[in-house]
Amino acid sequence: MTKSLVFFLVAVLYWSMGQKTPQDPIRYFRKQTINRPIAGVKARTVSLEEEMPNDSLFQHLSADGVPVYYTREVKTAVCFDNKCRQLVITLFWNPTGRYLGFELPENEFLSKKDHDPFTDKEYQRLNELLADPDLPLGKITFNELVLTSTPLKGELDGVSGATSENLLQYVIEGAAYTTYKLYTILYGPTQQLVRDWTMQCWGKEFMLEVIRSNNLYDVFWGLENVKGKLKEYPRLQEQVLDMIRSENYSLSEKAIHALEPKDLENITVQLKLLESLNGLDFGRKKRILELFGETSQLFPETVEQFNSRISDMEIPLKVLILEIFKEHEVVDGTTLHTVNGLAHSGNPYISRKAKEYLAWSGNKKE
Amino acid sequence: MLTRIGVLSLGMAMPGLSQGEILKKPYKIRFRTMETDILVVGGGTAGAIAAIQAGRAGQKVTLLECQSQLGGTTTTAGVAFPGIFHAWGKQVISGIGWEIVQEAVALNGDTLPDFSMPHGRQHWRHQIRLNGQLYSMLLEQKCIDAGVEIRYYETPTQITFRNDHWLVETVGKGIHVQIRCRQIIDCSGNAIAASIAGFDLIREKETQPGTLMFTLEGYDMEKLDLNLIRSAYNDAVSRGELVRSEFRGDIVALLKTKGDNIQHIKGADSTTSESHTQANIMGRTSLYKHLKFLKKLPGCENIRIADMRTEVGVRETYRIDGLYRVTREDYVTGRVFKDAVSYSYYPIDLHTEHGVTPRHLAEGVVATVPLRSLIPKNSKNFIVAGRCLSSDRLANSALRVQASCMGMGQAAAAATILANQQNISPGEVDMDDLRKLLEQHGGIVPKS
Repeated sequence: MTKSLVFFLVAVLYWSMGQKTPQDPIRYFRKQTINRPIAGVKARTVSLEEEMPNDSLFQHLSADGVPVYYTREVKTAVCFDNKCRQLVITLFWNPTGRYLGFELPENEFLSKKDHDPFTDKEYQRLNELLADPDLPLGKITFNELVLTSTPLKGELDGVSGATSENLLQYVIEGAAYTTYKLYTILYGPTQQLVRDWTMQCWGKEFMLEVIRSNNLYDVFWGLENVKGKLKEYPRLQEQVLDMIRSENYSLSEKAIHALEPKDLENITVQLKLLESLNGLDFGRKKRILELFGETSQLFPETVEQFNSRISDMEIPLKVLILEIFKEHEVVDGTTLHTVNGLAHSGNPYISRKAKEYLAWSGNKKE
Repeated sequence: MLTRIGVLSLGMAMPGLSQGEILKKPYKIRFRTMETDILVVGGGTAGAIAAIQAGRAGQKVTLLECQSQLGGTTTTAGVAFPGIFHAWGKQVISGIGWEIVQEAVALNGDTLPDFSMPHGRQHWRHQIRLNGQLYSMLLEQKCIDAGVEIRYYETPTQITFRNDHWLVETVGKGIHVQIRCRQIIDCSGNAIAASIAGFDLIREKETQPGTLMFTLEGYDMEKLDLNLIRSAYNDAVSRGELVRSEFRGDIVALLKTKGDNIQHIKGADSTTSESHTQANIMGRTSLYKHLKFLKKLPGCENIRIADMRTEVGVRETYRIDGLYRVTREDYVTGRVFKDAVSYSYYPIDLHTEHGVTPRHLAEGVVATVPLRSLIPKNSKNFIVAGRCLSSDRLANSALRVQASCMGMGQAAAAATILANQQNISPGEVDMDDLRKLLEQHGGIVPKS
């Protein structure tokens, strides 16, 4: 065997490793939130895209009826520059609406211009692109994609985002329309259908799994959707209260926003929230205190805590606590004493606010 | 007889008054004097926050605003999209600005973006979409609550320093006021008060363009033949009917953004009534011409203006010649000054006639604003906040944004409060005292 033949065979082997052959089943997947075996499948007819009328969205369920994932079998023509290719692919959604993956039927593969098959690297890249919910692809129309083959001058700022040059980095080279088509199906109306269908199967165990997920997208979705229901589900509520102390700012902020005033109609919740104030910044503390103002009841232990901590609070929060006292008609002796101290503050603004409270409490007693 | 003639002539001069009508005396400019601790000039992004801060610290505050509402670029100019308050997963600008942004978001039923995900090249993902009108109302309410005297439609005409006090002459509708105050915070954006007071200002030969914010509707982007529109646009530009730079040479972007922060009005200057009038006319004329052009194109026959702000927003005019000039190098390396009073986080974002290409900060970098950059050279009892701080052009292109201006506004006010209390100038305040005061009011101060 000559050296050049060996080189040729190695090159062929290397090339074949980099390509998915048509025989291999191709499947790329992200991490699921719910990991349970599929025990049943339900289908709903959807007519969301003109070229795919009466298509089906499948809900894949576990034995206990929890949605594990959703699928759509996409069959559509990808046409660009008057050339068409058939696109046959199964798309997967997590129950939270997040992109989960894609799978090609046996002997099917994705191709680029001139029918060149995708390489492994391109499949991986596609999987990554489709997993990013913020790609500019979701904000452009097909005619913009076509147009953007002509470079534009400069770049837009603000919300306007991408230009043609930018768009190239968000598509697989030679398969711009395939990328765009898949992206728009994944993040189009189907995504909301998936979320809506999941919400119809709402269960506390499922939501607990979602908000305990390692994926922040799922957690944020979960927090949005447990809002208003926490009072009935103490375990969920406990989880959300714990999240408030997270070092991740947005996680903490969204956990606070998952709370409603009625969730504070419980002494444990009020005390836990007061405890969590310690590590928080001004903005988050303020939102928590506002909840105390909006809830129907302030427990004596809470009033006690407010009185002992008000002097260490930021000035706008001191004023907010005075408003909370007024809102809940707190006029006990300790509070009056505390506020009387504030009325003698060297800061005329605080002093004025404290005097306003004292005047109000005087009228209240009369 | 004479008496009778007199009565007759008077009767002839008097108009016939119906019941309930009174005769208005000839228009006369009223003059009044007043005294305040701190005068804030300009109720925009930085000024409203500065006024609230000073009021909450118990100072007597007067706020001059030449327009009819607070908020400036965020409200009057319509860029209701402030940012950036968070950098690299942490909040870097908080305090009064953040408090009101947060309240506006909650009151409008909106949610905050996910700040835990890096924004990559799309920094606007961390900016916050606000209801501008609501934000303006909240600013006004907070000013009233803090005891700030708001004076709309007034502008300073003369500023002199005498006996450790400033004497500021202002004019407004039907009024001429002389205000005696101890400190001035210039938040005019154009350093107008600094200029009137006689401090040096710096300006680029060519400033960044301004933008009229508007919203177009009445067309379906998916159904437009964009190649045809682009070709027709290029022809119109060649014929001299449209000016290419006014929409960055990109008619498709105008249609796509529907007018959101896309127009560029060359030389837009808000420093005088005449220059601002000119900028507004240019902004509206440009929109009018483009609207008429688009209306003739297939798919755009029903295009219309859904909303338009009352004035062109201005990015750049004058900057003070301060005790320190923040450079691009300072900004992009995240230099933490010993006298840093607030953070600033935004890409270097210089708009030119060719568009804008933001230069993002390297991972982990957050710039800071030194107190010295807010103080004009040779000044006493005078400080600025907002985009007119002392900085080179590129640093300014990042420092000028709304969140940074809010942080500066609060910090500048804190410095004047301490200066007033200790009978010193803002540049002489102790940094520990300043930090303590700002933190008591929810602010974030960089640690050097």
